[in-house]
Amino acid sequence: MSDKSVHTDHPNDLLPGYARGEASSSEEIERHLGGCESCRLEVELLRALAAPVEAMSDIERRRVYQTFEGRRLAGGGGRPGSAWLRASWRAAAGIALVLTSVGVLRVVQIGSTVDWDPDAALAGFVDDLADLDLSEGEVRMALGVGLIDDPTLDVPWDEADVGELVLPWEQER
Amino acid sequence: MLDDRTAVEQARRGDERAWRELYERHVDLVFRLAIRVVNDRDVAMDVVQEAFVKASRSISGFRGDSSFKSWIASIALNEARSWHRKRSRERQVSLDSVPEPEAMERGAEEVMSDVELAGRAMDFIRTLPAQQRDAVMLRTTEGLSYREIAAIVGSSEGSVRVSYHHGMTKLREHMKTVLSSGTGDSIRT
Repeated sequence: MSDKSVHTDHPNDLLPGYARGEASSSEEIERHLGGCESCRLEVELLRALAAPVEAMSDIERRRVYQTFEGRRLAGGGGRPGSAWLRASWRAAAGIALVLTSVGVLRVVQIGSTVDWDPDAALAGFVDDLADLDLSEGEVRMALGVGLIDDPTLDVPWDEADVGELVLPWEQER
Repeated sequence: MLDDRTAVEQARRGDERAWRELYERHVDLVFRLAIRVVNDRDVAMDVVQEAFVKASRSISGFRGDSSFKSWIASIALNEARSWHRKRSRERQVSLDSVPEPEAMERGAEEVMSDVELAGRAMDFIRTLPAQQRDAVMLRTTEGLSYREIAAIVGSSEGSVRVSYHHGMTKLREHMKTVLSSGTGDSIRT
């Protein structure tokens, strides 16, 4: 049958639903399809196009969320791989500086007769972080939330928190 | 579990749990839209990230006239379009004189699988004018109604319907050519 002869009767609006098995008038559509090559092609196409795409893996979903969350807490600025990345590296560099200074202090303390006080050091660390004027998002990014590329190092939801940082004196215990 | 309306209210106040729920609920749709436009998994994930970041920046101005799903889908679609436009400009220069690789590789008798058929169709859909492309893509791949598509693309149902039919007419004609050439003429072995 010629497509043109039934052109006005093409049930185009119903075909997407039919292709997905959702149409209520499927018998009527099937009768039409029996004589209309154009609509048969369209259904074939619609079925192929409706096939699911490979979804994001759990790791990918988490990683994208962590990066989004870091950027949201940082005020939503930057773009992936550009200004955002530079901001996270700025934060990482700042925190590294603070950690280094804490480490230097620790070395000085080991060489002296005065007992090392982790609580006081932590308080100083927090003060130093405050002096850097970093947002929570920048700190989270700098500490690896959103920057971790190795799936084996992926941070579980509940542990994706600044509080999980292992400070230098804790590593020595 | 929060419904979207409540989650949006709480997300406006910066509630992380609300954002996580909105993300978990809609990330798959956003990713599917993105990858169908940009055709690149890594770029699609960047689009997802950027869409949610933009949503977080604009959530205070989201009035709730449409659903959050439509809203985030429209943001993602804009992001994906933007990437696609940029990519198209770059490719236009570099690929002008290069023959289609599929045409060179395909055997005349080869049967086109559904996956390949969908791939060919999507390649063509991406070349349609933006309104036709969005209407055809959202209706054929996501099964959205004209009303839902209108909410996402910020147009009227009637306009979406016209765009869809124009786009589908072009797609049908293109695929007829592809399929007929697949059993004979212009496909080289």
